[in-house]
Amino acid sequence: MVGAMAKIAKPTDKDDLVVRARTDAEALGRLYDMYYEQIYRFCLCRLFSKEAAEDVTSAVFLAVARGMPGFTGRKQQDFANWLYRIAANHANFYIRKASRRKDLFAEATGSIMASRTDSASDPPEPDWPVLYAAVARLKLQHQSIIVLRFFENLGFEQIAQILKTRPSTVRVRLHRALKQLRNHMQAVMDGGK
Amino acid sequence: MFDNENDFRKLVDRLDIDTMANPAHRENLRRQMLSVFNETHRPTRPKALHRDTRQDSLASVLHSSITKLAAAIIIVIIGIFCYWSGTGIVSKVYAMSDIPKLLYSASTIHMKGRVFFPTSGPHEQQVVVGTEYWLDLANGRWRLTVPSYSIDRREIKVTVTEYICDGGEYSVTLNHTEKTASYSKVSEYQRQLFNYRNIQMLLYFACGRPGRLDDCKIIREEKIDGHTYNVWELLTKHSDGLNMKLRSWLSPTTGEFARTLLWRQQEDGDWLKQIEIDYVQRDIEIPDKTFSTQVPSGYMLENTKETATTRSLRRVWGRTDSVTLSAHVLFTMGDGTVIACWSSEDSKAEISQAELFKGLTTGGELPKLPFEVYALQSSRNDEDITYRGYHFAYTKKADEFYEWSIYIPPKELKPARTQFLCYLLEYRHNIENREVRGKLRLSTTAELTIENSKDFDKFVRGAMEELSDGGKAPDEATYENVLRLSQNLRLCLSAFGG
Repeated sequence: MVGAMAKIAKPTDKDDLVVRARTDAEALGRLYDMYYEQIYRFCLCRLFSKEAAEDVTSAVFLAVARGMPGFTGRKQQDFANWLYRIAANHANFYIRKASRRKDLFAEATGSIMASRTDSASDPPEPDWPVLYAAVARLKLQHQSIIVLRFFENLGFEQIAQILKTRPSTVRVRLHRALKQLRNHMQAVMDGGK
Repeated sequence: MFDNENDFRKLVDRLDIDTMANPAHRENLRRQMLSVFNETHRPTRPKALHRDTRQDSLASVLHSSITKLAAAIIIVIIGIFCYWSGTGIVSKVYAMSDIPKLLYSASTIHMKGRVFFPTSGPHEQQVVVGTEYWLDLANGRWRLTVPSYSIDRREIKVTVTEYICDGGEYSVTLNHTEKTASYSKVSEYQRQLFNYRNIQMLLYFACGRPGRLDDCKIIREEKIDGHTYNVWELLTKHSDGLNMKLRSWLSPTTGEFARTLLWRQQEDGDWLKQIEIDYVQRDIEIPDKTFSTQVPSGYMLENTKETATTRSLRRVWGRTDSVTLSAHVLFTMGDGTVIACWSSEDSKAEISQAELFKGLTTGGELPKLPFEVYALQSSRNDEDITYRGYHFAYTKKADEFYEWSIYIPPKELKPARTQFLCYLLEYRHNIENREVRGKLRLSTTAELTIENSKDFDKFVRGAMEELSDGGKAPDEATYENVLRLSQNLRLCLSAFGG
């Protein structure tokens, strides 16, 4: 369940693992084991499709493998922020491809239709396909903020570091995104596109 | 639905999302990632040879009680000497502004790092390629591994080229991507010129803009391999928003670099790495075989030493139809005046260009060559500077005419190379119905700074001799004449508004 996700960005006394991982494959492998699930989950929440999430997760960790020797961060939090930043950029890049966007949308709306047929509740509780279809209508950066804040349970400070902006800017954008999301969700549930 | 952030959080918590990853994907990706890491990874900070030697020697000294005592006495004597002589040896703190002096005074330099090329994908997909420089400045020998890239149908193509000169008459160029090799003849002048340019290039890698070093600030202190380094940062703002940032890890006690990183800001505000140097050694012994011009087996030889021709100083700036515009050498005087040697030819022209150079006066109009570069404009600088062009001299070699123009900034300035990366050319076309589209740029990184008559004679007059029949430079081309002329032209510009 999403709600059970732990906050990952606490400083740790094992920060030297990050420094060692610049030159040591074993240390990098350990970091991978620690962060794979989180990055996959982030990608899944951004992209809905499992296949897309796997593709983008792969791109993220391969970029890490190439960029690790030059990574300047020293703490696990720096590393986590870097991973999320790469993941957000790759997810944006993936979504920007018009055809892919259409595919993701089709997959989400297909799931909405299926869940409506199965469900007898009235009014229906917004489910994951409905929510995703609504989130997907937001600006790409707003999508990242929503996922980082509510699906990854990160604080404003960390989201700001990931997106290279100020915490106050994140707050303002989140406020706007939620307002738009409410309208989009209503439209999706009403069957509008 | 939801009314506020808390409601929305509860809604998300109630969702049933299957976030279980596929274990096969996880395992495969892990293997793939570590394989990529092992392929691209190079040891980032090999220990300095002389530092190891120092540490080994120190260890052996401290092993014996006799040598321990001797060492203690020596340390006390050195301490007393420094105290009495007031030389400041013990108190010397190296700053970024010391870097040019440290590099220029080196007899040999070895530098290694990586170059980052952009791709059409997300920023993290930058292509990373190794680069390495061996310079034996005292003997005019070099070995440079230089990656470059081009874009063909949105595909990035990286080419790694190695330039090796053993201090003799020939240099070899190895194209490691195409597996080809070619020899060039290198004149004595070119050896001196390239030696100087090489060190300027390393200076750019090490500290960005030498003219801006006073703006560097220490942002923190870091320990690497047990040694303390000050992390210096230099931010240079450009009018187009594509700012640059440099960070250098410099030892305050030895002046050694641990690392230097150069970024450029993108249109979306992200900083993209451009160059990272993480190994710099000065004054080390370099094995002779490093500079061997022997072509490795498996490389296709494009020529031999016997058929090699002299390396050209020419770099083509622009081309349209039958007309080319070429730059040959570029110098900046201490007052900011630029001396540029350029030429422009029309392959369809049936008459000699000799007519175009008749009646020209020093400090007067430029020759009406097919292309005419009438001004240089600073590019990517926080201040727009226009350098107006005037004729200074010309030379001729093997039927080709070379224009030597001087370009005058409106006021005395630091040499351009130290301030910004390139000039934008202001040019006109003197042949009817021929137009050039697009901007032409000229990099300042290969520009030589001339601050005394000795360097003027060596490099400027040397280039004039190199580019003239009979190897003779015009008599009026002297350091003093150029400075006087620039001063007069600046006065005219300010008096008459250009």
